Amino acid sequence: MNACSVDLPGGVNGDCQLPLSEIKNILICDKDVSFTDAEVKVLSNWEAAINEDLEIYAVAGLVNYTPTTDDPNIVTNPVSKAKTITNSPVPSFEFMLDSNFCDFKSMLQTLKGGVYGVFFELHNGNIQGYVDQSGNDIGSFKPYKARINAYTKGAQEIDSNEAFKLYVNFLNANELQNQYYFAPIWGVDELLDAMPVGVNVIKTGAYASGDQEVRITTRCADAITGLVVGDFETSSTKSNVSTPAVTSVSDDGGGVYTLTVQKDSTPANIVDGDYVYLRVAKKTGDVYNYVSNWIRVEGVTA
Amino acid sequence: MITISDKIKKLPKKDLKKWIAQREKAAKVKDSQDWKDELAKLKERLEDAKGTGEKGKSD
Repeated sequence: MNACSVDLPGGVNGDCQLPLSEIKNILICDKDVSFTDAEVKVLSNWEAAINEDLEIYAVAGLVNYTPTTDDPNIVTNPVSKAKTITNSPVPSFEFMLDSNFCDFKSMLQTLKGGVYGVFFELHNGNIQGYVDQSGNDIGSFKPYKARINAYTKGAQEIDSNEAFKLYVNFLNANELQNQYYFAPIWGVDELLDAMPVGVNVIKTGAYASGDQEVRITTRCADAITGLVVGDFETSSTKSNVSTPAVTSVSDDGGGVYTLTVQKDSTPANIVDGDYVYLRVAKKTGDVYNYVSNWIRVEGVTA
Repeated sequence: MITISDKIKKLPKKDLKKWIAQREKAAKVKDSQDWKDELAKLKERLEDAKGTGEKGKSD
């Protein structure tokens, strides 16, 4: 809006002087997540974004948070002595997560300052985002765009529970001007229930003769047994070989697996300079039940 | 327990033979009876396919 606009805020709702509700939780999203006016009301659309498309991550909870948005810059005119506001700081936040090191480790590996979307769940049960009012997506409910960094000092401070931090720095002040409170008829906790189980995969040795041994556990917990070859997913975009694949899996017990990791349409072992990204992605139909971090398997000539 | 992907099971005979030969060189396979059993099953498939093919030829 033009700073010189003669428009004044129109209307007042005297019966609706509610204080702004505090943030209860955050939903981290792919920056392009978008729900049309019809889609946003339906819980299954949100659940599918969480456990089928893996494009919304419902954080387990918050311990605390601090808005770190700067105050506007106020300049006093040396002649007239009148004050002028010379900027409009974009909102920023520091969130302290209710987490564990195993979950947070994955956040450290992922959230390194890239651009994501963020919805806020408020204490009154509303979901806060904004409704696009221009371009091709007019009327769509979207998350605020923000750069997100996960950070920890590596240890808990004495008498504290704020070791797992997330810095969320908004990119566009105008999204706040189009903010919208969506009041779902379902509880936001249901989104947390839709989250796949987080799994940890670590390599226990070097790749040799086609085989990569790994150990697979639920995060900070028990070994996962009984996984089969169809429970592993490779990424052709992250890998540097054609047709990356896990072609066989040996469940060696106690969460230890030997994966045969290969390339090409006629599968052959990867060699020096090749790498394949893979993860556990156990699904029922289109729904992810278990999903792990990506690991990079590097070829060696053996 | 060993599981082998459908992609391997559906390979043409020549490529499957190559894949089996490559697997037989792997240290894990040499030391594992389960692996030997699985590869034997795949070899049986090759034999079955070979039998059918030869019969068709002589007919």
